[in-house]
Amino acid sequence: MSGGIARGRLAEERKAWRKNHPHGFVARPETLPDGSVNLMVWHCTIPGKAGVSSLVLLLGHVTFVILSQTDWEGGNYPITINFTEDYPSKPPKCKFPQGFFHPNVYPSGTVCLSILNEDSGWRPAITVKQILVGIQDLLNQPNPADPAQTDGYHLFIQDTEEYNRRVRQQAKQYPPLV
Amino acid sequence: MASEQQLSAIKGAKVLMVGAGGIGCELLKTLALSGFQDIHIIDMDTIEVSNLNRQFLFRKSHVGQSKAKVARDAVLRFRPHISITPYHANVKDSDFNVDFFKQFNVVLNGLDNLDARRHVNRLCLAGGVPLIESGTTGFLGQVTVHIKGKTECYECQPKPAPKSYPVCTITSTPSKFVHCIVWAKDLLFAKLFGDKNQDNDLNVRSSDATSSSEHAEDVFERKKDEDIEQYGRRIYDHVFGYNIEVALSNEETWKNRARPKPLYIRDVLPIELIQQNGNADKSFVADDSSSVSAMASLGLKNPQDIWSLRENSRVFFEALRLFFVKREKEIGNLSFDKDDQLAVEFVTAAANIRAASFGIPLHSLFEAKGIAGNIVHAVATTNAIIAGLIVIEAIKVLQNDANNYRMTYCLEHPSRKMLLMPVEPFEPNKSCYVCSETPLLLEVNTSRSKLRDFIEKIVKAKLGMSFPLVMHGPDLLYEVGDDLEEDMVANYEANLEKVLSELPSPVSGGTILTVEDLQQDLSCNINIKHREDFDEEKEPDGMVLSGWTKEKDKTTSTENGASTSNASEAVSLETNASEAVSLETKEDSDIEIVPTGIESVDTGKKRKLPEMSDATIPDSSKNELHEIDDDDDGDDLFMLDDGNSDGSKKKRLQ
Amino acid sequence: MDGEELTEQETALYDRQIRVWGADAQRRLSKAHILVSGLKGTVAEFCKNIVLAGVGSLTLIDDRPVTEESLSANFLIAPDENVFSGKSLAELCCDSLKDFNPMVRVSVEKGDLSSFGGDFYNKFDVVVVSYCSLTAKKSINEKCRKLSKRVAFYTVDCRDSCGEIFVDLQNFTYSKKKLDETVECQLQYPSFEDAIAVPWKSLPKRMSKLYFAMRVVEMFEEAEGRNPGQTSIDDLPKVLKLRKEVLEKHSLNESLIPASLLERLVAGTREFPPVCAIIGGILGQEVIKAISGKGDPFKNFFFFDATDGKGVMEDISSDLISN
Repeated sequence: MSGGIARGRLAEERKAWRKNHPHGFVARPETLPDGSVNLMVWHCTIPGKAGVSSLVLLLGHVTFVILSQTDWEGGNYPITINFTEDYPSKPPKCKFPQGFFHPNVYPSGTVCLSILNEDSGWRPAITVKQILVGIQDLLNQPNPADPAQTDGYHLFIQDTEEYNRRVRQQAKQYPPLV
Repeated sequence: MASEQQLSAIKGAKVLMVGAGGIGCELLKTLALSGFQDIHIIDMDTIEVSNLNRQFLFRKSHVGQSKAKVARDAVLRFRPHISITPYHANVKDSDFNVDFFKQFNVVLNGLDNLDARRHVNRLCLAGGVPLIESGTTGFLGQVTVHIKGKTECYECQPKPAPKSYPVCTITSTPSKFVHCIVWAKDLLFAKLFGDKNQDNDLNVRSSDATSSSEHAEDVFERKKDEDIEQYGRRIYDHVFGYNIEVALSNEETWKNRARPKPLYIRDVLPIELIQQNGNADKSFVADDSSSVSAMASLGLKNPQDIWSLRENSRVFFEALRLFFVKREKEIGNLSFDKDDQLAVEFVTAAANIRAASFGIPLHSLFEAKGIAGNIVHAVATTNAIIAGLIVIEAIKVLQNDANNYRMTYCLEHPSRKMLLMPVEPFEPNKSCYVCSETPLLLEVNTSRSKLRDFIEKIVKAKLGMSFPLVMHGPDLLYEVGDDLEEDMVANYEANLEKVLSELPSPVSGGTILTVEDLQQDLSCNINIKHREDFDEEKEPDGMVLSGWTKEKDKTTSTENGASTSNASEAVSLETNASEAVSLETKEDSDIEIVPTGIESVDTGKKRKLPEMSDATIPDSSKNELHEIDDDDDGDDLFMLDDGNSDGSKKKRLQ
Repeated sequence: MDGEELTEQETALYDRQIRVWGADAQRRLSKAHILVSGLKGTVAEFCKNIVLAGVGSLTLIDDRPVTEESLSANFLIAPDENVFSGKSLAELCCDSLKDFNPMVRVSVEKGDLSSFGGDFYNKFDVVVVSYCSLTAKKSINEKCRKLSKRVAFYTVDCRDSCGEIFVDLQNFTYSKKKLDETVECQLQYPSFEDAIAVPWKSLPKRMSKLYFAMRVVEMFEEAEGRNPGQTSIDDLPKVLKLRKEVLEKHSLNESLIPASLLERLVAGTREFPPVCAIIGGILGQEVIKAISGKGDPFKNFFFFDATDGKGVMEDISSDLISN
């Protein structure tokens, strides 16, 4: 019986995702060992952004394609989205694994992002797809105004080199699922 | 006085009351006095002291006992010959399914939470049972009548969900006292006294980058042989001093905000005073842990007083100390409870100290307790009035007096001379997710038929779906499609071979299944009714699907007949609606592909739902009252306009 | 904030309502003395509300023995054995009410209400009379007005599914919140006698019909020497005749008071429990406002009729005419 509005909307989200979703992303309702599939919890993976390709013109007519690797690339970051009965009037809670390295991720793994904040950016029309793409953007572009962990924040501000090293190290922890 | 017809309707009625609290006590009394003979009452709560000022069927000696049962006994004392059946249980228990609800002529709600109200609303809709809903806060109250297909259901208008606060505001940038309360209650209190394994974002910026991570975790742990006073100072300086300093070091955050002030205990409270705390206790012996109080041992008497920063700091230390000295065994298992005096004291003090640091006005313990415990203001008189109004509507419902149903508002200040203001009920919201779909009824042997039978014979053959999604509440039982991952396909294949009652979330009599299609924009609810045997000749499918008409007596056993009458009803309803609405409906509805008996729910409308609920996130205070009948006969009625600018005014019935 | 503070016990018991009206109002309530007379269903509801609210004392007057009729809308009395116990209505209600809130002193006073003098009423802050004759209403109201202290006077009556409350707060000062500020307000009330003497013709056009109907029934009972509430459908012809006379005197049309309404009032002498709960609740709220001096009290009549569901207040006082 539970979850009329939330459940109805999640069914819509599920269908929309199944019909079309961005490449490399995974989002699916949680399957428990007893075979039950729960729409209120989704297990997702966000791929680190691939390198930005740029065209560089050299020697008049020879074109090279240079891929500038992003430090997040190669990682497939698992994230759990927890919906409540009040969804979509309230945002879901998105969590990376505990201790996830990123300036805007709390030690518990909870993501601090304006579109997931009821008081600022959340609108009921925001889709699961938009949330996941939003978090993917956040990975590459941390928001220094809202730090959520010391480690990631300090390195990001003070020691870019070490920061990037940690990001790359983390990417290796989450290899693509094949 | 009740008329003869009223009395006979009352005497023959079987009513269900949900809730035996403030409204419930009054309601049970008034029902009994009015002559009701068969009353069932569900309430999972037990009696508390703070109930006694209004829940007049209860006495101090009843504290801790079942509300439903004590209420029954109390009412039987003045009406010994009626039947009252109490259930000390949660209305969401599966025992109270659609079949249970269907035995009642009317359901009367006296609930205190949105969740249970929604649940009862849906069961009443599914069972076709009229619902009278009520609520009070302080001197304000209201009673509404919900009849499926005739008036709007409880969820036709979005309801305000209880406010929640984003972690970032709580941990870093509080601007209101409530933020400090949430911080003190859900973070600090939970961290110090609650389950250590729980996630807790309290220490966002505390861990010193240079120190090892395990050391960082230890800040809140009392070290072996650490003096309690020492420990308290360490915690205080850490959360109110050091953490604030760390936060301040991030200039970005404070560009457009007032900078908080770090507070260290040495600046707030001389050390002698902290030590005195302990001394005061020596004359004070408390064995009963529930009566341990920091206020008592500090000689603070009035919970209405607003303590100074220094007093709050003393309460903070004393409460912390008392937890460790008197209630050490509970540490690690505590969760905040508004009736736990020491917990309220600790949270009040911690919230106030944080408020002082952030330049937010301080509050009294009494106020802080109200905020921390989400305490609803309540008085006996409003509940009594509302209960009287519920009974008046219930009697109309029993007599099917649909033209006279009213929703009534009880106001604190008169509006156009009225303290009790009746308004005609609104008709159902066509895009209401909950009541707009017409549920179907499926009779099936749930312990013999497999999910596969249901999919093949009903979902595909009857409903004409190709890529169905079958849901039971929020649980997905079945999906199909090339896009699914292998393990999911295997999982669903396994489900197909299971009988309905043995599915991961079992389907039995009273279950409501939701079936949607990936491609078609079609969704419907199916009420499951368990039936043991089927006639092999007449019912070769071993299951019978029938449309669900609004009046029960109209339900026929032949599915086509029932479905047809249903479809024509839906059409006539649309023609009654205002042009704007019917135009929109015509445009959207896809009648050809819809098998008779199922109302089409177009995605266009459903997709709009989130935006709609966004725009109309209800603010009942915005409601304006409009008089619509201004003649002189004094029979004027009022209409509520919810301030929607999109012109989709709710239409009056009749 | 005068007087001593609330005890811990009071704060715990009254927690939820202090959140509505504040600790100061709660303190005032605990010092208030209330007198009620005429213990039928509506007054039983009122007594329950005011005892739960935590007034200082409640005194009950009703010497009548218990009858089946008096039990019909009264949850304070258990049936059967009590019908023949020899105790009066007031005594039986007193026993139950004491049980509701041990912090309130509930007691019984014997005797005829109209025989008491001013010094008796001087003991109270609020006097509520129900099922009381027109003469008695006027005289008790006058006795209260003559006292040096202000005694709030209320009448309350329910017939069929209708109810009426009258209030005289004399010269009343109270505070109310207006845009986060507390402002002081003053109201001047007429006595019952002065209020009902206001010529009907000068009353507002949209006046509740119940007001007129109740006055006609009141006059009828007075003229016939009936006890209040002692009417039946057989009285209807005489009541209709009286209606005609009264309305002619006021030069008003007979349609002002529908016959069907009068019929309900004379025939339906038994109270309708939901209306008792509503009227008893509204009256309780008003008495709490009067004692605490917080929030707008109504002035000076309140009417409820379950058939249209409206709860309306009407201001009937002589200063209305001058406008």
